[in-house]
Amino acid sequence: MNKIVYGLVGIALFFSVIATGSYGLTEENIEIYQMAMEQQQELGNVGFPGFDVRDYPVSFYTGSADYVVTGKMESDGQYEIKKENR
Amino acid sequence: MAVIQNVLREKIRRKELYVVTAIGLLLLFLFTSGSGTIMIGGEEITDYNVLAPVLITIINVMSGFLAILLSIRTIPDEYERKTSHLIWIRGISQGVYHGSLAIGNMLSSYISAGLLYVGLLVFSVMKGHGEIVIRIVPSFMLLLVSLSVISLFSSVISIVWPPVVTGSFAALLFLIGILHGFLELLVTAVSGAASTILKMLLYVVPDLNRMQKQAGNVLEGKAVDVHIVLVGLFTIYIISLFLFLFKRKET
Repeated sequence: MNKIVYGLVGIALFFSVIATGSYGLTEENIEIYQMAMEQQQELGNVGFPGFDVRDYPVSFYTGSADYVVTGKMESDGQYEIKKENR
Repeated sequence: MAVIQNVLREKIRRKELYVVTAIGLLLLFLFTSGSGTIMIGGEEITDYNVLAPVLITIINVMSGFLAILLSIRTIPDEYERKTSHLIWIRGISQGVYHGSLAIGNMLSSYISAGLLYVGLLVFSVMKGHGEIVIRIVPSFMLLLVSLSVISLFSSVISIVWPPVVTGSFAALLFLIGILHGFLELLVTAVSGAASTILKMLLYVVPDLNRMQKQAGNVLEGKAVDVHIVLVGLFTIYIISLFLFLFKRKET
């Protein structure tokens, strides 16, 4: 009986870990990228005229993989994310 | 239960808990006396909002090292003193015996961390931040998760290894755990075998810094990352399995 309870606790913990984990690029990193897109004008004002973050792929390393974000020039605020394993 | 009580009594008899209390009081004195403060860029940092997170981090890291110190000797000492013979004649299995000793180790680690937290509490009240009192209990409960991981791991490997090796190995893994974020960055700069080993270690060792940070988040009124707390509980579960898998031969 004890072994069954012990096993069930393990299974419950395992699935709780899986269910609460965030996979892919975190909200925080997406917000950073969106903020960079929104502040294009600001970059011009501080001495980088013409620089647009959407011209370059931006890589976020999460400890296991790179998430390369590329902004789309044709539609403002849009971007695509590609996962690249190291 | 008797075994757990005996572990705690032994820690008190060997004055290990007194030493921890002394360290806690020394820490409290250093941060509240006014003569010993943290200097950044030549300027004294006295603002509570800047000093408190630093103090919380110091207490959390110190609690981790104390948990290792309090856990590495208990099981080898029991076998050395032949106390184990008294257990076997009562028909108690090795797994249950080691489990009870490990719980005793965890409880003594909690007490030592609790004493350091009392220091933090006194410091906060003295600085006029009495509101921390209601947050200190949930914060402490979250710290117990990472402390349990460290203490339990030290107890488990002390079943098969001598205290010095156990202490060194546990301290190394604890350092990897608290430097997890930094090492994740470092792994991008190294290549070859070092990179592979580091990646494997980072995969196996949980992010103890992120785990301990949740205790600080509660104290500072920030949101808690539930996922890392559950990772900590699952790690405790996995390590506890080894209490029943590892066997020790009588010498």
